Amino acid sequence: MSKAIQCEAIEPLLSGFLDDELSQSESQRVALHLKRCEKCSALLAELETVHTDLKETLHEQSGHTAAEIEQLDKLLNDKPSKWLGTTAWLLVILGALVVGGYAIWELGLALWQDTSQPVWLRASIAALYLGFAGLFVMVLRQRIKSLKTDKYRKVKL
Amino acid sequence: MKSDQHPWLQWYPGALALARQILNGSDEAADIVQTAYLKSFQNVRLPNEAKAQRAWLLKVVRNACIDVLRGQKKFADSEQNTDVEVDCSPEQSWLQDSRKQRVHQALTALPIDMREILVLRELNELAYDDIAKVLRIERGTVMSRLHRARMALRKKLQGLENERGEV
Repeated sequence: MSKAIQCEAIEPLLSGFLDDELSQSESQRVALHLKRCEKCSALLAELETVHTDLKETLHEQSGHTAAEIEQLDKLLNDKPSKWLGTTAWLLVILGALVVGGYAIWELGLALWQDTSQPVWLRASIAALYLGFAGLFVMVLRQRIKSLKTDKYRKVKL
Repeated sequence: MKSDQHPWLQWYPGALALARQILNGSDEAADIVQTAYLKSFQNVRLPNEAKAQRAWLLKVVRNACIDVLRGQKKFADSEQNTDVEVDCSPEQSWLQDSRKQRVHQALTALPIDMREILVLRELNELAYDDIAKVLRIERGTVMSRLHRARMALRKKLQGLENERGEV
C-alpha cells in the first residue's frame, strides 16, 4: 500500500485515536503509522491543539450564573409540588376507573336483566363479560407460569 | 458546586452550552434547559445509571432546541449560519484573548450538526457511545462526524489566522 493511500485510511481515525475511542487493533494500526508518517503526526498534534483550545473556550464561554443553578435546584427539590402532582393524577385515574367501571357494569347488568330487551343484545352483553373474565384468567395464568419458569428472575443487573 | 445540590445540576453548564450552540446563542437556551430538567424528572422510565441519565437529559435538551428551531424554520437551511457575525455581548468579555476569540469565531461559522457534536464531546466529555445515543446516530457516524467537525474547525481557524497575518 502506498503511503498516500495509507494516510487516507488513517486520517479519519485520528479523532478517535485522540479521544481513545478506537479498538485495540485500530489504535495499534494508527500508532504504527504515526511513527512512520510525519504528516499524520503533525495533523494529530494540530487536532490536539484545536481540541484543547476549543475545550477551554467552551468552558469559559458557558456563561451561566450560580443563581440560575440555585433556582433550578429549588425547583427540582420542590418535593410538595411533585408529590401533589403524583397524588392528584393517581386520584383522577382511580376515580375515573371506578366510576367508569361501575357505570358500565350497572348499564350492562340492567340491560341483561331486562327481559324486554332483544335476545341478541342480552347475549352480547353476556359474551362481553365472559370474554373479559376469560382474558383476565388467561393473563393471570401466563403471569403465574412465567413466574415459575423464568430463570432470569433472580438475576440483578 | 455545593454537595447538597441535586446531582443532575453538575451537568447544567454542559446542557446550557449545548442549547446555546444549537440555538446560536439565543436567550431561550436557559429556559429550554430548565424545562428539560423538570420534564426529565416527570418521566417515570428514567434510566438508573448516571451516564445514561446524562445522555437522556442532553437528548431532551437537544430535542427541545430542535423544536424551537423548527418553529423558526431555521433548521432546514443551517447554511445560513456560515456567515453569521460574532455578536459580542457584554458577558463575553473573555473574548479579549484573541486565540480564544478566533476559536469562538470559527466555531460560530460551523453548521449546527458540527457545533453540537463538538460541544457534546469537548465540553460535556461524553463517550462516543453516549453521543450516539443523544444524536440517535451510529457510533461510526459519531467518529466520522466529529472528525469532520474538527477538521472544519481547524480549517476555519487557519483561515482566520491567515487573515490576521495579512492585516
